[in-house]
Amino acid sequence: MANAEDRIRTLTQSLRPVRPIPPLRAVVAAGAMLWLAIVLASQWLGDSRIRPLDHPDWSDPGFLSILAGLALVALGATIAAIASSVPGRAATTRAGLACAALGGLVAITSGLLATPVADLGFDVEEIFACLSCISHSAILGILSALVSCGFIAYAVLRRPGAATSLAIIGGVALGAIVVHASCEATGGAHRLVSHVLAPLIVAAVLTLPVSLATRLLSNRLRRD
Amino acid sequence: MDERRQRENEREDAWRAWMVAAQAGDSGAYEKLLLELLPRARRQVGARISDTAAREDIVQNALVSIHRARHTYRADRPFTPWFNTIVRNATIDWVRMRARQSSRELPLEPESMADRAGGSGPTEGDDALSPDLARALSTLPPAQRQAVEMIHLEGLSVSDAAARAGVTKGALKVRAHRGYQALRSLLRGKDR
Repeated sequence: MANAEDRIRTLTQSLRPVRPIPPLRAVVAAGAMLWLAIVLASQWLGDSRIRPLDHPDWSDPGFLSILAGLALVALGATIAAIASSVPGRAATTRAGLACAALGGLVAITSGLLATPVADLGFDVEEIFACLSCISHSAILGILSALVSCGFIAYAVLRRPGAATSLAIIGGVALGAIVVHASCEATGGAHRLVSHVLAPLIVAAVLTLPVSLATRLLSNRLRRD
Repeated sequence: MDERRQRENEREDAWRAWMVAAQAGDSGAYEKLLLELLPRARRQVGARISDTAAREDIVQNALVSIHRARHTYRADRPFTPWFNTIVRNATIDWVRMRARQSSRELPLEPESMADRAGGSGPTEGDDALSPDLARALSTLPPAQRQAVEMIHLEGLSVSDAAARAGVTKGALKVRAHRGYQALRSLLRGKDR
């Protein structure tokens, strides 16, 4: 077997120029800009209209803390997803995970506190309303998630399942922010399941196909 | 103390500059960088792995990983944590792969232990093989033997094995396939 010095010679001979990855904050900003563009387009088209600023919900602490929690989940999960695919960024990954966990805790606690036990039953109509909100969150956030997945595929794909599920959670949490700010339903159980838990539900459904696609893309991009 | 820190900073700056040059395709800077990192990688792996052959394997895997991940280094970030993470991941991957392999391996029967004690044939790197298989393996052409050894004995992925052999993945698969065919016919011939 060749020794390490021979290996270095082989690697040196096969060296080709490469383009370094963009800064992580540029990737986060690209995902956020894309999300903003989709939100503006949806407002312009009249879909998922956000509440007017004089709506009483904007002064409701429970409503606002769910929004804040979802924003923290979106930021933290996206940062953790992209940082986990770059060597030497373990501290950033941990910070992102902590931020997402805190956001999840805030959103879930607020959702639970706003849900009376009597409100926990679901009828068929409510289930359809939940599905509609969850799919809206997915549609509004999936492109941002795919931006993160594209970066993950270009960087180092070490844990494809974990990285893509975090990217999906981050993207769909962005979508859920818009859905929460626009949805007319005021039921605590509806908000908990279809706004707060939407990122987890969509991630559970989409992680496998998206991580397979990310792995395929990574193999295509890796030419060495 | 300050002098030591200054030396470390200078070394870090040099590594950073060489890596940036390597990303632009400068093979001279790349070779200098890898040769300078080699003893550091050996020390880092040696702190966790005592077996010399395994250590060398891990260091080579780490070199291949550095090569494949070189685009993930950014000049505005420190170089050492990036490098340390890759070497640590290579070590962890090797330990996991080894654990997976040993969970699949069957313990040797006393008769085969006796066989091995009295047997002849290839010994280096063939510790887990039966004498027949080791002998058949030693008759293969070197390229086929290397392909089979890397994939089946060392547990490397096809991509890593191809990078190590310096050939394409397709070429390595062909070598390994021919190696398996030759081994099969050699072992069948022996059974008859």
